[in-house]
Amino acid sequence: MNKDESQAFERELCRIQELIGALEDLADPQARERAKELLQVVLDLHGTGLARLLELVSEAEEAGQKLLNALAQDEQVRALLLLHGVHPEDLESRVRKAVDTMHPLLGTQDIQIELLSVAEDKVRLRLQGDWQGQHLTIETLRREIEEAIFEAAPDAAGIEIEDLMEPAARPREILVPVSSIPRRNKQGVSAAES
Amino acid sequence: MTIAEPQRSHPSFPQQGWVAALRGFTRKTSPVEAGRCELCGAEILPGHQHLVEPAGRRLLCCCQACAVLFSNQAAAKYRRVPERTELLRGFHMSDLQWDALRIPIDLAFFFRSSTTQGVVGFYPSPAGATESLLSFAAWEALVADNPMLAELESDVEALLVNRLEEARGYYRVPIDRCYELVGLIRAHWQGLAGGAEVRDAIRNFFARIEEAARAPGLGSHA
Repeated sequence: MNKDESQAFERELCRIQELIGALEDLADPQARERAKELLQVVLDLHGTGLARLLELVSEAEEAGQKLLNALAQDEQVRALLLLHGVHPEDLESRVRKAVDTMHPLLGTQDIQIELLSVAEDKVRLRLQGDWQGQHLTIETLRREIEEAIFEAAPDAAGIEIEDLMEPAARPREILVPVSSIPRRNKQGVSAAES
Repeated sequence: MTIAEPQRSHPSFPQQGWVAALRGFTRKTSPVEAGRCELCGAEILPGHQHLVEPAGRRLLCCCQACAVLFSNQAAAKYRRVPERTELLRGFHMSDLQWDALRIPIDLAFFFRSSTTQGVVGFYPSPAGATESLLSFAAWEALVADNPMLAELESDVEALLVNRLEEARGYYRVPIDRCYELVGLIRAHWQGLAGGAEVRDAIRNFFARIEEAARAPGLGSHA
């Protein structure tokens, strides 16, 4: 997809969540239940068809495997596979790959990221490091990480990031030599050496 | 993943991925609707009426014909559930009076039972409606402050109390509304503390109750 198509696609994905929110807020429970049911039935229809389609593709052996790989790489087809739970890679392995991709970039900020667990579709991560916070705010960092994870795993039901503290709050573990603490001489002028 | 780009082209929904959101939405949460009158077997639409069987404290779904038939009988095995929903402004219940009723949670309903000849209290729980032993004196004290309670039709009407968090809502509602609330809570409850979904469900429920109270005759309920 080109950039415009990509942005339009992302907007559509957002639109799904907006519409879900709007329907959940419907005062009429009947209408909401009918909408849910219709959606579920239509999704089931697609899911069954898609699973069958993939079966047929995989029956073509080597050519089929090649095709399956290509399908999983294509952004729009991938979304379909994920939606119906027929993507060849499971949630955990996709999340792990996403975390691995983040290592070098976060490393330039002296941050280490670790995947703790993926239980019940909830992703738990830990961040560690002597973070200077020079280029990022906490919010930006969190958002970047979440977006990368949800991109790889839109079937994740939640993300928890441990140890994500403001840089000022992190206790520094470097010992400060006594000689470098500023001292004031008799005139009240500080005579620091560090 | 870009580090240096704070602007995004769309609002973010950080809680869950879009696939998880869709799955959560379509997951079957509400109980299956009855499609037949439990007395005569006629097909009934959503928004149908209910009868109460006081002996078993059961609710039965019924068609319009059976509802009318049973509401005309005197010493009835089945009693028709009325539709009147009222927000009780000026209802008095102090914290002390609430505590005296000894309900474990801040949400409950009370009705006069013709079979026990007393008032019973129920509260919703993840397992369904749970009966709570009521102190006669505590209830009588409440009636003394709120004489309208004596008007509640036995078995079919209830005092519904919502004191969750900051709420202080007191309603006169048909008994099937109470069981609707119980059903909602049971269906949406998650984990030990209930979760956000059940809080939303409760909030929406009371919004509908208040709307039905404002517009009598429009609120035909499921």
